[in-house]
Amino acid sequence: MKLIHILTLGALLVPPVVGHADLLGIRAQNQVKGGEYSAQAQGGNNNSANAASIHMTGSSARAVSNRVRANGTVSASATGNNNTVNSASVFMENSRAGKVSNSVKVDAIGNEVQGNNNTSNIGSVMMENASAGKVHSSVTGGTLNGVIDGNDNRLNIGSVQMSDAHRGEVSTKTDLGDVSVSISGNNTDVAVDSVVVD
Amino acid sequence: MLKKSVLAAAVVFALSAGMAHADHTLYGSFKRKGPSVHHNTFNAQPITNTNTNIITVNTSAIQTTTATATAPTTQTAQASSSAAATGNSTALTADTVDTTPSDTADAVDTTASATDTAGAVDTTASTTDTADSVDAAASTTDTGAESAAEATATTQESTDAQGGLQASIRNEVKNTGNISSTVHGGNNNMANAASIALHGGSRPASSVENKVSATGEITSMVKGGNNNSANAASISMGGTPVKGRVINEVEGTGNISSMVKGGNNNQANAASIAIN
Repeated sequence: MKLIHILTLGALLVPPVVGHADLLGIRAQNQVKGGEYSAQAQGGNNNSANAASIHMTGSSARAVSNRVRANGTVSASATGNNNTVNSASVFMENSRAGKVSNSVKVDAIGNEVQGNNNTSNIGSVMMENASAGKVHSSVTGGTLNGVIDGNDNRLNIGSVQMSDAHRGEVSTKTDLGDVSVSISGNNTDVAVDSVVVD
Repeated sequence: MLKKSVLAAAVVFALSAGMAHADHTLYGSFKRKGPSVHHNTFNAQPITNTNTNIITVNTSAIQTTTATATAPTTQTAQASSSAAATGNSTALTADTVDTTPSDTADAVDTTASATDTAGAVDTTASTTDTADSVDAAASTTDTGAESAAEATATTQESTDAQGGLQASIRNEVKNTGNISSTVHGGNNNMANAASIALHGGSRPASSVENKVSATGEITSMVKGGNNNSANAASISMGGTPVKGRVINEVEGTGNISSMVKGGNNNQANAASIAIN
């Protein structure tokens, strides 16, 4: 009889404890529809300009989802050094995620960078010193335009680029119209409709 | 034996009644008898910013706003909300939930919202978007583990809402005119427009959700200085743990732009999520 009482009390007390169990991580979801979106960093160093994008630094998430449907133009620009410019992209550095998804459908995307050691992502997923269980990138766009003026810059268009990254399955799908790239300077790394793993 | 059973039943009934009531009751009854199973402290409440109101919240503040404003049926012109300042360590908020401790300048737009007809249009548009359908299908293919985790997240949010351990933060902006936020010069400034900014060791949040729809142009700008942030229809987070989802939804708006001019270590976000 005492055992029954103990079990009864236990059954009443255990559920609240279970209910407060910590979760494994967060779900970051960015959904954008319509309009024109632009982000600019003019002058200076170590700046970040994100338009319709997710930028994670030193974080962890269970799922990262960036979903962009824009009738207008998505654009980001920076002048200076060591800048990061993202348009309709997911950029992760020193971060972890179980699942990364970048789904983009826009009329036009344009990035412009002037300076050195800059990174420009257009409809792309970029991971630096990051890990993800699954990465999917889907980009449908009309006109994609990337301009870089400077040295040691990196430009990704409709691509998945990873360096020092631990990843599982990677899948990409691109359906683009005109893609134009204008580059001046040295040591520029350009990836269009590509998967690059360093 | 009968007395023991009656006594045991009485104890079980008392405990059940205690759990059915407010958490304070349970907390108090257990605390007197030693180590507590529960840990209920009402240090935060859900924060909801609906329509065009401004809510500026310090990390220790308790604020709940659930009122829904209704516009006069004759209101057709769209209003604008804006904020501007000059100096250091300034956080400007326009239609924004900002939990940064250093809020010094605010503007309040009490313009009421009208019925969201644009939302209905958007819904229709979504149903004709084949890519959206694909995405929806993809969502249904989430692994069982993820679904279970999300279900757990829902349970967690519900539990937290009852226990008050972590608050959800929600910013909803609908049917407004232009929204702008500008900071001129100085360091450590923040210009937010229709955004959520969580920095400076804010209390843990169960979820963070920013929804912006049917608005005019949204602009945020920081001119000059270092360590500045300009957010337009975005979520910017740093140093704040979030247990649940971080969602930023933007649709049916005018142009959205953010700009940082001059200075170092700055960030400009437009319709984006930045987690640092």
